[in-house]
Amino acid sequence: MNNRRPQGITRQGHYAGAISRLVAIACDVGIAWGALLLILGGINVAISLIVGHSLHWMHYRWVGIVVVVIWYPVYFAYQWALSGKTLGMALFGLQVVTVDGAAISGRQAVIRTLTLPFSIALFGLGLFGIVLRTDHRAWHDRTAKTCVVYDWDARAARMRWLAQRHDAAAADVPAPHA
Amino acid sequence: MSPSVPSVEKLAQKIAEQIVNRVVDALDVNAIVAKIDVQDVVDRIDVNAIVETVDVEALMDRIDVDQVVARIDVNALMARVDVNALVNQIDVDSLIEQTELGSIIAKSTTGALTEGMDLIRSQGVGLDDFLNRLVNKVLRRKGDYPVGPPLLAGTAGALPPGPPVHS
Repeated sequence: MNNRRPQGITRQGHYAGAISRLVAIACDVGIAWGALLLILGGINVAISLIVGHSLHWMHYRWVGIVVVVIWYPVYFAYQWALSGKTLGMALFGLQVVTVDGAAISGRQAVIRTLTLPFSIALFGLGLFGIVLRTDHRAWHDRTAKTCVVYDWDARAARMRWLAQRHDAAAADVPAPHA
Repeated sequence: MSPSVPSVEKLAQKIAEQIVNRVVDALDVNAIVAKIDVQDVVDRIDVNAIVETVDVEALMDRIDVDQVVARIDVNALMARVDVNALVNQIDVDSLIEQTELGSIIAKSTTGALTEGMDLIRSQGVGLDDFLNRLVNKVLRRKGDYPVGPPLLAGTAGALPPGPPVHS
């Protein structure tokens, strides 16, 4: 067993770094895309059951683009407003909070969502702050007065580890001779 | 009996009272008490023998414990107890490690998914740290800077040291 301890265990409430945030948002893009395909697939099945033939989305490119443009902001804004974290962020134990550390409001969630594309535009110039600033805030964070922190339950992870050690120690004890 | 006997007795009683009063007034009680070795007196008393004569069972039977307990203001008593100090004295780590509580927690919370998530998250934070150190080195950034928002950064230090990464 390797006794190296994860770096994040004492970092709850600290500003989240660039790698965790980048991977989390990549996960979110994938999850949002998958969810959109599922929804469109469901709509397609429903339409084919009603009218007898399925839709070919490639014939409605502009509709598809509009759906994507609407869907992504809804995906991010709704989840940030609801709990301060998206599915990808929850996977990596991240949460969006205000600059003070409180829960963000719905307005902040919407502002953050609408300004996120501006951070990504111009070769991701607005995202440099995540790497270079000590508070790891990008343009959209500064506009919405938010920041991202580690939020995963390190204490529970510690308990689980201790519990596993107890079980392992119990398994090592030789059984008494009958 | 002649009628003069009671009057003689009364006279004798009055004389005795006068004498006793004068003797008592003349005595220095403090000086007498000072001469008594109280410790010696106490040593001579066989407390065990006295206690043996007491019927403790009968004494206890006469005590209405319910009434005594009813008189206690439990809320006031609990208000004086520093629960936080009490809880801080509990070694949670050893409690979980050495009791069946650990197994219960392990069975209820540990799963492949949980372990996997812990691993992924800790790896992510490790990479974040590596990048932070690199950037700080390149920018020659030193000194203290806020590690988190004011409301959250203060709680982070209170967390226990972390579990190992299983490899």
